[in-house]
Order: sequence, then C-alpha cells, then structure tokens
Amino acid sequence: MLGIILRRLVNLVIILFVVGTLLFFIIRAIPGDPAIALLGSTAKPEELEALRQDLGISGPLYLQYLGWFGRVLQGDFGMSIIYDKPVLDVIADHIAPTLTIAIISTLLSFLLAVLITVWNASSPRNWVARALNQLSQIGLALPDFWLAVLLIYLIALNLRWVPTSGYTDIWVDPIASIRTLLLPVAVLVIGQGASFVIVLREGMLGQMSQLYLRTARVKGLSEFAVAMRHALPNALLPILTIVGLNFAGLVGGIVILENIFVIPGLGSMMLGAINGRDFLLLQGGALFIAVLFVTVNLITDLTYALVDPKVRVS
Amino acid sequence: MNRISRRWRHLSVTSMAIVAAGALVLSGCTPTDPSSTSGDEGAPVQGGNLTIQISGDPGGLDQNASYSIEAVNISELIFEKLFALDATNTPHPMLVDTYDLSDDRKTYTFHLRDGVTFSDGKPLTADDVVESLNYWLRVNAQGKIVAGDVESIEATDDLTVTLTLTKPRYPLIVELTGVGTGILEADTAKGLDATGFTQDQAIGTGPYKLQSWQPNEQLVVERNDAYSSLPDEESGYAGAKHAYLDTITFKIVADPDAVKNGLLTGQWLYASPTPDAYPELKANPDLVVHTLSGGNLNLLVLNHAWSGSIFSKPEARDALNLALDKPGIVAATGGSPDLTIESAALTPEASTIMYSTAGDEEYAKHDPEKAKALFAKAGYSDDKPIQILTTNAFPAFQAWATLVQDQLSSIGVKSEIQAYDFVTMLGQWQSYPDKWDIVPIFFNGDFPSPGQMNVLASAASPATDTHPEIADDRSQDLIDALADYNKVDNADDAHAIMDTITSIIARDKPAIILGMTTPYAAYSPTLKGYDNYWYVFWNSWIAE
Repeated sequence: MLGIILRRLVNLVIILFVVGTLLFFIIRAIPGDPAIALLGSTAKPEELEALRQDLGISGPLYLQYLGWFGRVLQGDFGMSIIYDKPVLDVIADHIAPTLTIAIISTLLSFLLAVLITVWNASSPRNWVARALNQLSQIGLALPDFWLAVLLIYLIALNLRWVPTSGYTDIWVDPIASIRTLLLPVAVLVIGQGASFVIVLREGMLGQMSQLYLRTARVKGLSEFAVAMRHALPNALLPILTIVGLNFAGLVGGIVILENIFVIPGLGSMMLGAINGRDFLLLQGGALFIAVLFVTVNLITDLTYALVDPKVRVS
Repeated sequence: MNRISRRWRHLSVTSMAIVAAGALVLSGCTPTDPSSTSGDEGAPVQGGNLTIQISGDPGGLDQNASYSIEAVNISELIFEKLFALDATNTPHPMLVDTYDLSDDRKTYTFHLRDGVTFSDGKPLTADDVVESLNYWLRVNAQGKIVAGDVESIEATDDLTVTLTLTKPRYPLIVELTGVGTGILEADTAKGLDATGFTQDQAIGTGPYKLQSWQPNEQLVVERNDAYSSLPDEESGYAGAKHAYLDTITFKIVADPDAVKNGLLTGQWLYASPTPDAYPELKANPDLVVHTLSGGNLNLLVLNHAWSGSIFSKPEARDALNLALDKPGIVAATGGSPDLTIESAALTPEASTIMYSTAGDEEYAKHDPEKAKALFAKAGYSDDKPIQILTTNAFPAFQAWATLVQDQLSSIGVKSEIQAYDFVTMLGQWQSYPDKWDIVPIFFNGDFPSPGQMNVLASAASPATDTHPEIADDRSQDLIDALADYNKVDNADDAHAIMDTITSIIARDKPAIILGMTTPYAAYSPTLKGYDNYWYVFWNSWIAE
C-alpha cells in the first residue's frame, strides 16, 4: 500500500509540472489584456505598459514563466489583482462553499444509489423500487440548470420554504446554511444519484446471479442482507471511479449552478478571474483543481485497494 | 505600497460597458421623472439595514479608477464633491460654502464649509481639495480635458481654494459635480495614479462609510456618525443628507432570474432587473417599479478615423444611417416603450441645457434602397465584409449586432460579427483598428459638458494616444463648437450651441445614434424616502 502511495505521489509531482506549464501558456494565449481590463479603453500606452510590468506580464513569455514557476516552488502563487490578496488565500475563501456542496451531494447521491439498488436487487418485484429505478433514467436526462430553475420556482418562489439564492457558511449559521444548500444539493443529487443508480444497478444485478451467493441464501439470510453484505461490496468497484471523477468534476465545474444560486464558490471565482484576466488567480485556481483531480484519483485508487484485495496483491 | 497591492478593485463584466466609455457621469444625472413614488411616506424611521441587489462588483470606490455604474453610485454615498446637482440639474454648493468668480471669469475662489470632517475624524482642509482636484485633472479622462484650461489650483488658506483658468470655461461648476471630483484626504490623493486608491483609503466626508467588502459577494456601508449635513432642503444629489439607515448592503447578483426571484421573496428590497423583466414586475402590485434618473445613449461607433475602414468615407456612414431601422433595433432589447426614447438627442430630456433634438431629422431617415446605392458609391465590395465587433457579455450589444447584420444583409451588404468576452473586445477595439468597422455599445447619456462626452471627444480629437497610426480627422466644426460652448456665460447660449453640436454629430456621424434607454429599478413599497436617483439612499428609510 505504501508503495502505491509513493508511486502515485511521484506521478503527482510530474503531472502537476506538466499541467502547470501547459496552463501557464494556454492562459497567456487567451486574447485580452489585463492592463486594458483594469485601466479601461482610454488609458495611455505608457500607463498600460507600467501596469503590465507591475503585474509581471511584461517581457518575454519564457521569463514570465520561469519567474512564476520559481515562485510557485516556494509556495508563492502571487497576488490576485481582483481581490488584492494572495492567490492561495482567495482559493481558500472560495473552496468552502464548493467543497461543502460537493461533499454533501456526493455522499447523499452515493447513499441514495446504494439504497435504491440494494432494495431493487433484493425486491425485484416491488413496484416502488422498480419505479425509483426507472425514475433514475429521467433524473439523468434532466439538465441541471433546468432542474434548478424548476426547483426555485416550486420550492422557493411558490412554497417559500427556502431562499431562492445565496449561501451561508455552515459553521456560522447551520440552519440558514441548510436552507441555502437545499436546492443546489437537491439538483446535484438528482443528477448524480441517477447516474450512480444506473451504474450500480448493472453491477448488483450481475452479482446477484453469481453462485457464491448461494451459501448466503442457504444460511437463511434475507435477500436484502444478501444484497447488502455480499453482493454490494463486489458491485461497488465500478462505481468508485465514477464517484471520484464526479466529485472532482463538481469541485471544478459547477459554475452554472453557482451562478443560478449565487454561491461564491470556486467556479464563480474562476469565471471572475477569466473575465478580469486575473492571470495569477486563474493559474493558481486551475492548478489547485488539477491537484484536486489527481488527489481524488489517488484516493479512489486507494479505496479500490481497500475494497478489493486483488488490487493490493497486484 | 506598490501598484499591484493597490489594485484591490475588481472588474465586473456586467459593469464594464462604462469602463469602455471611460466617461460615466452619473453624478451629473438628471431625473427622468424625479417625483417621489409615494405621497404618504410617513415619518422617517431611524435604523435598520437596506439590502440592495447590484449586478456586478463595483471593482473599486475610486471614481477615477473604476467607472462602473456600481462604483460610481456607491461611492457617492461615501465621498462628496464641491458641488452637487439638484433635481433640476442645477449645481448647489456641497463642500463649498460660497464661491466668487472674477470679472474676467477666469478665477474661482472657493470658500469651504467649516466643521466638515472625514469619516476618520480629520477635518476637511483646502489642501484636501487641491490634491483631490489635481488627482482628477491628472488621471480622469474628463479631468484631463478640463486640465487643458486650468492654470493653477492653490490653497490660499485653510478653507479657501483658488482655481485659476487660462480662459473662461462656462461648464466648470457643473464639471466639478462630475465623476472623479470627490474630495479625498490630501495624503491619499497626493501621487495617486490611474490604478486608484486602496480599500483602506476609501475615506470620505459623505453620510456613509465603508464597513466591509467581499469582492463578487457583497459590500456594506454604515452610517458615518461624524457626518455634517447641510441644513438645505434635500433635492437630487444636493441638500440635506440624513442617513436614516444604519447600514446598506449591496449584494452582487448577476443572474437575471436570481435578481427577480430574490426581489419577489424579499431577499433584497431593491433591485435593478433586466429590461425584459419590466412588464412583469410593473404588473406586480407588491412592487414599486420606476424609471431612474439619467439614461443610456445607445449607439454604433464607426471606425471613421482609419482609412482602411469603409466608414472613413462619409457616403458609407450616411448609407448605414439610411439602412438601419434605429428605433426598431433599440425597441428589440428595450423591454418596454416606457424605457426607450426614439431620438438622436445625446442626453436625457431633463438635462435642459444639453438636450437637443436637432439631430432627429437625420435620425428618422430610413431608406434601404438609397443606402444600397450609397454603399456602392462608397466602394463597398463583397470581398471585404463589414466587421462588427461586439461582446457576449452584454446581450443587448450582441442583439444590436445581429439586427444590424440582418438589416445590412437585406440590402446585399455582407457583414461578419466578431463576438468576444468584454476584455478581449476592449483590446480589439483599442489596439486593432484594422479589425473592426462597427462597435455597438452604450454610453451614459449624462455628462456635465459636451466636451466630456465620448462620442464628441472621439470625433473632436484624434485618438493618437492609443492609435498613433490613425490619421487626424478631427472635425474642425466640432472643435469650434465645443470651444464656443466653453466661452458662453448663460444657459440659453449654451443650449443654442448644443443644437449646433448635435447637428454636427448627426451630419458627420462618427457614430450612429440608435436612441436612448432609461434605466429602472424595482423595489419594495416599504422603502421610503427614495426619489429614484440611483443609489441616493441617504434620505431613505424602511417603513416599520
């Protein structure tokens, strides 16, 4: 296990170097001058050039790259021109809403998928279980933004149970936080949960017909217990990768939902950085998301090893 | 402190049309209908928080560095100027007690009000005024225009400032109500450059002071307990400021549906929704929906100064004017007839001196067949389609671009739309004159003097600072008219010259005027004491 971790950590460093380098040059290739963005169209050339020098975006690109990379190696990701704060501080400010939503929605989606598929596998003739299973197809087909608008209309505007938008830190006011999180989390759970159900169901149905379950049934275990204790662990493997990728995707890519629900998360931060040509924040944010992707993949692989002894042996 | 660390302000795409304009003059706003919306306001209530929705982060509170609607209007709560405009667009002393003008109309002596303090407790002095005005003249696009006529600004004693001009300048007092003329502490203003002051330097003499700011989330101002109000009757931006509210929270919400939904559920009491929401909100009996002071001048900027553009030829500019159904284009995005004005006037009607309909005859012309002939005469060729530069950040701009393309297509003129994000569009516009022929955009229609208006400034002066390759094509007629405006000494003569200026613009067409749109706000009936002057909430309260 330690060997796996060490090998993956070495890979992580290489990946981050490559990703960081690519990101730097791709981001610099985006048209649009941050100096014009900041000073407006009436600024004089000398004012623009002075600002470019202050921002570290003047001079040959390779020198800018070396300067940036050298500072990153020392843990200095630079200052955000939008927030006038160190880039890492800005990311830290915006990670909480995104992580909160991603963690809660992933956990709930996973639990929901497990319950539905286990129920469905153990009671294949139960019409409620079958209906839930079929509903997952609909859940998968509904676009997030459409679902968000629908839920806002029904639950926030008509029933007035929760606010239509906003975000409250869960540590500051848990009740208010739950009220603001309810709709965005519901939207994500419906979409994610549906995809988890579909993948997990395939695995469960395959496992339930395996011969190794005969002993469990002969012991007198209920079908639910058979499904939960014996079939589920073997059916989980395919879904772990999907859960991991989905989670990483949520952290880096719920821009539309953050916009609809006015959540000050990473997606909004990145969008603001692109619009304001805040290069350092953009590079830092993208690198952070890359780290998160790689880390989540590592955790997924380690979980694989925990769940499946064959992976440990290999 | 280096320049980067000073750059705490944030660019918000939603607010950046005005950055492009570089000339928002909201403090010079005049009311479309300045009447209060309620006849029974009740007794003012002290205290409470008013939550306001704004569409973009202000990006800063320094009017010389951040031109967004939000920046300019919120900073009006914190900073004050020597003069302020009342509901009839007349300047009234604000930080000035009295002033004298010499017989040759070149020397102004401003006697400042005694006892005025900044929100940190420091007293206002003549040095603060001198440094602040020098900052405005040095950095602000409009201030730079005025600077050409300023010989000196001196503090003659602690509370007296003498401003000497090289020649008379009729609109000077009104210009001192313009964007960027807010008075800062001398230590702050001294040496500031175009990147503006820092958040902790946002200290003014206004009725509110900055409490907190999370960029892209919210900004909160709180009552300045040290504020010294004028005893005069409140009117527009002038007169008494009571600061009834304890705090005002500006929530930054860009999504149009979220804006509307939050208003309907009481998350914010005041919002600036998009024009298309106007009819629905206007029909809602639980809301007050009212037009705001001022107006946006919608236009198509033409690349008249670069010889490579077809619009360097007058025939092509005339052809475009004839080809387009201008009122139709504005109406398509205006939301309601209540919000659109079919006229070539450069400023809202309430701005009595500047308002002129002298260009309306040219504006009304619409003859696609004649346009086709004129384009041919100008040498139009299918090999070189007209390039329309726009941004997807402003749906209206993109819609106008599409409508222009469609109407040109109907007379056989090909065009291509280049849609970028706003920053890229600005860069293309500023740095690559060979990449565009038309830029659809709006400017704020309120300005304290004609020389400070972008469309006139660009036609009257070559943009050699930013486009040295562009030939000097200044309109001498316009230069003369703008100079004549500064020479007058009364409103009637000034108005007559505005007729001339408006006619020259209609004739030469450095831009095609599409018409004006009026901004509006929707708010809860519990908001009282609000007279529809943007964010002038210093005499507002929330009814119990």
